Amino acid sequence: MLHILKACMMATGFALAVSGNSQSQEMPVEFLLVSDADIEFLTTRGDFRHADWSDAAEGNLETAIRTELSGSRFVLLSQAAECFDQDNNRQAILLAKTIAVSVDEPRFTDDLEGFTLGAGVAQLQTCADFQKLALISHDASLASSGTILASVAAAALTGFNADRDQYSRTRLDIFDGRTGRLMTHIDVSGGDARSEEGAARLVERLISEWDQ
Amino acid sequence: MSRSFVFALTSLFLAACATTSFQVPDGRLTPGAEFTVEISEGWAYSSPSSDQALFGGSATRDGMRLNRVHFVTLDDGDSLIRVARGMERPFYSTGSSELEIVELVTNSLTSIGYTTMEADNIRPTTIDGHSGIEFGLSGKWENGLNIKGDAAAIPVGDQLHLVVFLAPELHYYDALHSSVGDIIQSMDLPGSPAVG
Repeated sequence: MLHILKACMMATGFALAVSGNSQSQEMPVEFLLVSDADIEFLTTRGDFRHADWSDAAEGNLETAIRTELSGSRFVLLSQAAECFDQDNNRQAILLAKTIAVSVDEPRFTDDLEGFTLGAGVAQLQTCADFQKLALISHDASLASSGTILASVAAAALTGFNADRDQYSRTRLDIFDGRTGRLMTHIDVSGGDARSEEGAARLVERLISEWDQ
Repeated sequence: MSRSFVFALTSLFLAACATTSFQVPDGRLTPGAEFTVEISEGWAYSSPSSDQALFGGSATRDGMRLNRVHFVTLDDGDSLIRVARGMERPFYSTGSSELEIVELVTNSLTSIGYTTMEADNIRPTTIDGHSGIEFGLSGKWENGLNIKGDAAAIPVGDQLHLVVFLAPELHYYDALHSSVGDIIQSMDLPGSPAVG
């Protein structure tokens, strides 16, 4: 399957981020890495608006996890975009993201049974032969101090409290590259992926919990 | 309806469902509608009061984002969805045609974050002695994830009894389609079965 990966690399014109020297490229790819960030901000009216920081945060998380997993061989999803942008492959990634959020429900966090990409993982294997899919996802809702002050003043009338509705959550979900089943789900609250340092701290926390 | 409002609404209802679900044992359930259904082990049920976007109760196996079966009974003039005052929404009218009922379901779902929701395989059915329709659903969640589903709509007297199942097309729809078919067939509806 490695020749397919190499063909994909050539087709996309990207040098895939397979770590290590040329000898390690003959080893199977350990991780397909996917980073995803969705940052929104709260307006004084209580609306949620998508924030422009999302792309930067995705890049920061990607850089951080590349550093943390520097001893592993991995492929970054974003660097094989042509293959993964095909609709059936994109659907598998969207399902992985949906699963990551669903597992957050308290009754599921200790029981990962039933969470799987199903046939979607076979679709992804046509882009890269990997042993595990690692999805790191970051959701945050932020408000400026001005918005918080305004919302607190109006909370009695509107019920909206920007301070209360702020949150930040980062998850690491690892799926089996053969069966598609979810193997690991770790999530941490707080943190800010908008800066490289913030993203690095978040990824460090996730990996340290994973190691335990 | 603004995208941000829809997002806020759907986030609220998904979050609410996430925190109020509870497991139900095998057996017959009155799912926040004026009919009962037989639910097998593994489904978790959310009461109507926990759903901020749709009227009625719902059940899921793996979380509302991955699969949900929605149960509701609509009276004449009722809406399937909850939206802010002044926002447009479809209403059920007693005597609606089959196609109007299909549009009630697809238009309602489109109003709460599903896009390009379409019905297919519309067919007559008989459940608990009452005539109605069943149909398939397909569309996308607002993030682009392909969604498939099934619906059963049984008018009895002035009321419409509805079951709507939605799940990602990839894996989850196929995995639960048969189980949901059993739930639909188990509907115990009020009133005497129609003659015929």
